[in-house]
Amino acid sequence: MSHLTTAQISASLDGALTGPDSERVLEHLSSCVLCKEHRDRVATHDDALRRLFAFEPDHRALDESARAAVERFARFTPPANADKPSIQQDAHATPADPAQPLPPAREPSRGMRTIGADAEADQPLDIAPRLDTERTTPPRPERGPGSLVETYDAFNDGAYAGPAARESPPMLGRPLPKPEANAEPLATRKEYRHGGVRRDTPAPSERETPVRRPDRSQPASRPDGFGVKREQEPAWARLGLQPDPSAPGAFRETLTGAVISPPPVAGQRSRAKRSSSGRTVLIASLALIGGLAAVALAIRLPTGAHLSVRFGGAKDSTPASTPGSIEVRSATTAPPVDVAVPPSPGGPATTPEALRLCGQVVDVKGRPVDGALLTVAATITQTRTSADGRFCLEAPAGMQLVEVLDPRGTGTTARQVRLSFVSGAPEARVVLP
Amino acid sequence: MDTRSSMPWTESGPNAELLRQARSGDVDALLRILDPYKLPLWRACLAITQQQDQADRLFEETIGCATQELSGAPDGQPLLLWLVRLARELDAHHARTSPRDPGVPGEAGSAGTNRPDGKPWDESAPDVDVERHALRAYAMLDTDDRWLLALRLFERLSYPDIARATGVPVDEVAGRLAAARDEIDRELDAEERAA
Repeated sequence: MSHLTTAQISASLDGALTGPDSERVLEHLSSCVLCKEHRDRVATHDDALRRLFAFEPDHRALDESARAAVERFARFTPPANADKPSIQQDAHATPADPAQPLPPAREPSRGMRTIGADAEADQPLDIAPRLDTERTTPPRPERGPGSLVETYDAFNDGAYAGPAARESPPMLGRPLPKPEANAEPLATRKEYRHGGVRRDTPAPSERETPVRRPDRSQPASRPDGFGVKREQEPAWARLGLQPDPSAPGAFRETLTGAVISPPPVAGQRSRAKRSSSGRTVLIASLALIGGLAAVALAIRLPTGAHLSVRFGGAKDSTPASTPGSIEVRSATTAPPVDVAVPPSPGGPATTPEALRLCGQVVDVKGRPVDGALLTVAATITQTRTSADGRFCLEAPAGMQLVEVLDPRGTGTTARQVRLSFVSGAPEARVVLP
Repeated sequence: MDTRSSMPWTESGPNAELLRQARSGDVDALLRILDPYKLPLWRACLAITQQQDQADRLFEETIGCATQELSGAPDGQPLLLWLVRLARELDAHHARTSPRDPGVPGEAGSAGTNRPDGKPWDESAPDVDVERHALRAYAMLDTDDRWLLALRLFERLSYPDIARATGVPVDEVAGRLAAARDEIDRELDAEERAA
C-alpha cells in the first residue's frame, strides 16, 4: 500500500474525485495517519489563504471608481440631439465637432501612469499593452472609424501568422489598421491553411505557378559594381593570378608574370581544420568520461559510505530501519549498493491473514499515553493511541515488530516491541519509559 | 464540490444590444454592462496583486482600459474573462516596469508584511504564522499557477469551469493545482524549519 500523491490529496480537498477513486482515497485516509496529516496540513494552508482574501470592498466606492474610470477614459462628443454623453471609441478618429481639438497622438510603448493623482486627473492615461515588438514597430497608419468588430475577428483568424500580425495583440482587442482603398475586402479574400495557421498565400506545393526566385548566379547589374558577391569571382582572380596557358593547372602572377603553384581547390577542408575539429571531439569525449568518473568516485570513495535502498516486504536483519526508506550508513567493506527487491504482488507468495490486535500504551506509572504513533514494521500500517492510550492495529498473523513513537519525547526516538497477532490474543499492554 | 456560482465566468457574453449601445458611445449602457462584473473583477485584481490598495488601482485601470478597448471585446464570450485578461496584462506591465520582490519575511516592503486588506498582522491570533507564511508562499508561485489557485480557492470554480475559463485542459488544471499546493507546503515547511 503506497501513500497518496499530492494530486490525489489536492483533488480530494477540491471534491473532484468520484466513484472508486474517491472511495479508495477515503479508505486510505482512514487508515494512514501520515496521509491524513498531510491532507490536513494542505487544507490548513487553503483555509488560511481563503481567510486572508475573504473580504469585500466598499461597494459604493467600487461603483464610483468604475464610473470615474469610464468617464475619464471616455472622450465625450458634444451632444447633437440629446443630453446623454457618448464615448468616442477610437482615439484617432475625427471628432464629430470640428471645433474640438484632436487629442494628442498615442505612442505605442509609453509607460503607464497610475490613477489618483489630482494633478494628472484631467489628462488621459496612457495604458499601453505589454509588447516586445512595440519598440521596433513603425508608426501605425491612421485608423478611421469602421467596423471594428469585423476587423477584430479577422485579426483573430490570422493571429500569430507572422510578425506583422503580432503588432496588435488579440488579447487587447486592438483593431487592425484600416485596409487600403484598393485592397481586397476581407470577406472575399481567399484563405489558405498550411503550416498550422491561416495564410494569405498558398503552400509552395499548391501554387499554380512556381514562385520566381531571383537569379543569384548573375551579378547585380549596378554600374558601381556594388553588390557583386566575392564568390562569383574566381579564386585566382582575387589572388591577382591568371591561368598559365602554357601549363594547364599552373598560374602566373598578373603583374610580375612569375609562375606559382596552383592554389588549393575551393571547398576542400584544410588539414588544420580537420585536426582542429578532431581535437574538439577528443576533448569533449575526455571531459565526459572524466565527469562520469568524478561522479562515481564522489559517490563511493570519499566518505566510505554506501547507499542502501530497501523496499517494503524485504526480509530485514535490522528491524530499526523503516521499510521503503533510503538510508546511508558508513561501511568499509560492504558493497556500494544493496537493493532488496520486494516479491511480486501477483506472484506465488502467500499473503498471511491480517489479524486485529487492540491494546493500550501506558507509561511506567500506568497512565495512558495519548497520541503515541504505532507502526507495524513489516507494513506501513499505522495508528495513534486515543486519549485513554488505547489502539487497534491490523497486521499479518504472527509475531510482528511494532515501533512505538513516544509523543512526549522529541519525536525522533522510537521504541520497538514485539506483539503477537494471533486470533483470540489478549489485549496488548505497551509500557513506555 | 464546494463551488460558487460560475455564471460570470462561463456565461455567453453581455447583452448584444447593450454592447452595441456602449460601443456607439452610451456611457450608461457600458456601466450597466460592467455592473455584474465589478465585484468578481475586483476579487481577481486582489488575487493578482495580493494587496487591497493595489487591487483598487488595478481595478480602475482595467475599467479604463476596457473603456478604451471596448471595440475589441469578443462577442458571445464571457466579458469577465476579457476584463481579467486586461487586468493580468496590466499587472504584467507593472511587474516589468517595477517588479515586486518577495523579499525577506518581516522586512518592510516584502510580501507578507501586511495582510491583503492592508491591516497589520495580529500577532496574538492563533494562526497568524500560518497565514503570513501561506501568503508569502502564494506570492512566490508562478503567475499562472497562482491564478489557477485563486480561481479554485477564492472563486471556488470547479475544475471544468477553471478549464473553460483559462483554456487549460482539466487534467492540467488538477496537476497544476496540486503542484501549487505542494509548492506552498514545501515553502511553509522550509520556513518552519528555518524558524
